[in-house]
Amino acid sequence: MRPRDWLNDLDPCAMELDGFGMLRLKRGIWLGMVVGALMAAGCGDPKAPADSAVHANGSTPAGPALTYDQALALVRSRIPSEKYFSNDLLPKPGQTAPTFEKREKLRISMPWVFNDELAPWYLAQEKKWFDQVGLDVELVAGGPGIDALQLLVAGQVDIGVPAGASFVLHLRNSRTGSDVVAIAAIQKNAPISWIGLDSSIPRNQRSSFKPTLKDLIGKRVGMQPGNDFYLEFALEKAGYRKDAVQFLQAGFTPDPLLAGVMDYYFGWVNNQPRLIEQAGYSNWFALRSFEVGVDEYCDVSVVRRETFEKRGDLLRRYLWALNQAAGFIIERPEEAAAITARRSTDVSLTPAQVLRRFDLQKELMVGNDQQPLLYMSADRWDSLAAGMVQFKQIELPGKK
Amino acid sequence: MSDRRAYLLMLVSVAVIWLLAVRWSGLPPLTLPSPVKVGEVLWDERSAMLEGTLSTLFTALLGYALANLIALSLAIGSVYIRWLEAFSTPWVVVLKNIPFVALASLLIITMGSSLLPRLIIVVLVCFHPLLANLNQGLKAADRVLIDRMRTLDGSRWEIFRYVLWPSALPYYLAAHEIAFTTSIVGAIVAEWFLSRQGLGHILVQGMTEYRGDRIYAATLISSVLSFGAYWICRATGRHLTRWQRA
Repeated sequence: MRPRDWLNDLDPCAMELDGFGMLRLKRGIWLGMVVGALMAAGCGDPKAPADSAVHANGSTPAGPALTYDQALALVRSRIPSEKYFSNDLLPKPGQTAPTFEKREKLRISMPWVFNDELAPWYLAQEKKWFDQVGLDVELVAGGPGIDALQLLVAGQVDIGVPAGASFVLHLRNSRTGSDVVAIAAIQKNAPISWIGLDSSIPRNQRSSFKPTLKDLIGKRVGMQPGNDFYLEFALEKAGYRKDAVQFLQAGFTPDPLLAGVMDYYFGWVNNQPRLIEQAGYSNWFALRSFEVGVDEYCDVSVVRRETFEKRGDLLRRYLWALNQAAGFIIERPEEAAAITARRSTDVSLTPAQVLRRFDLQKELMVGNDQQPLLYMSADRWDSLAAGMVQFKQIELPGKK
Repeated sequence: MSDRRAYLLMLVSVAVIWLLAVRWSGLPPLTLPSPVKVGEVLWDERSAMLEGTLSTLFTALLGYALANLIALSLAIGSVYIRWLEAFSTPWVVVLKNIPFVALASLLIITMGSSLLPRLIIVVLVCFHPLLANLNQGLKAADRVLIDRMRTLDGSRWEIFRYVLWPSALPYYLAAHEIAFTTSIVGAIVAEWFLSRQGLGHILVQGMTEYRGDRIYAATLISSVLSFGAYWICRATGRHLTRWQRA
């Protein structure tokens, strides 16, 4: 007896199920494979990661449609930085604490979790500078999925501190953006860097190698999500095609660099190198983005336009306290590091580790612009905006 | 209420609730853009959206196929190899509970920006419902029927084909309703962490560039894909098990 015959005796319905069910499933699998193959052919999972970056922002390996100078001219005529940044509320050097009539509460959203990046705000609290100008400050931690500017725009905080100036430009020029004003920057030169390991020396030695952009050519460079622009901008400024470098996806830690799966890792020179050193590699070196003409302000205090126009007194007090704290880091780094290590509750840090950060970022805080701490300049904002326009990171107003 | 009416009601309700929320919540467009803005971005960026959608679908379908292969192998293998289920269960429990954030770095280091790490995440996300339901369905097979098959000198393959598999099929189909839709979300999460393409990457871009409209557009596409996946599962299931309703 053939199986189908005796099964028919047992259960005719099962027979029908089997007869059709198995056949349909097979067809379904084949159909799925054909659709999958078509999609693979159509969308082409890229073999070269650089190619996918091309699609990501609409530029091509041949270069952007606008030159930098053309983009800069457009920026200066259509979105000049004077519209969205101001030094007017910053204290003059040596200025005494502003007076106040009543104490006020201030909520500030931070760029990241409570780590040592937030040192100026911890210090302003600990050293009572906020208190001295009548401010009861609540710091709101950032982190993955918690965006300082989103909280600001939604009215959840009074001041937002995004990690970089590019966030401000994105927000202001987004179709779903908002009118905000940048009022101070802790880091006046960008800590953004491409970090590598010097294999010509032992791991426990510090490297004196000073890389140039040329050293990145033909190399595998790990970029954190959403940051390809910085390298594209640097390459274009130096006259290289973007596919001269192999872009790879990287996370927020430099493990892939240590594992040898990439030659350079995109990170902050005052942060990730410490992790690399902790892992036993003192032989790191870094190409800092501002050394290749790509610069931006980092840890920028940003407010809503309404706050800027109506609560100048409050902001002056805030900025005076912040300025005191920034100066304290420069002048008394050991004491500042001890306080910061204690306040960095989300990341376990020793005072020595914090001090290392301060050491690495001192030059960035002081800046190369001959201006007082926290001050910004129109040229740097416009230059960043021009790069972002050039690489279609932002749209100019008037266009959809 | 018929299915068709229920879906229609849902679609209308979502649109109305969305519009009311935009009007009355006071939330900025970055947090809650209007449906019109989202529609505009879907049209204006249709090429990038289509490319992202196809990429996500490809990852989801391939990962889903692999998940099926693994689940079927383990479930069927467990029927004939007694120790396999006991051996695999602890692994399955551990693997299905791994937080992908913890895996992301390891996957990047070991596999780079290739398709493989994304497939692994999709498989991890959706293979467990398939396996659990298949196991349940195979165990629910009528013992009397199996005994009769044995009495009739049925082979292992015949018992599987005519008793065990028909018993497992409704369970298996029910699992698809969960697993297939989850594979879409799994692919997007994987792209968010590990890829420069797909809807997950569009979400990353949208967040970086404060494009609430783009984030909602990608979310809308994801919902439509998941809905489509669910509908296909339901329709296929109904067709294959129509004998149950006969």
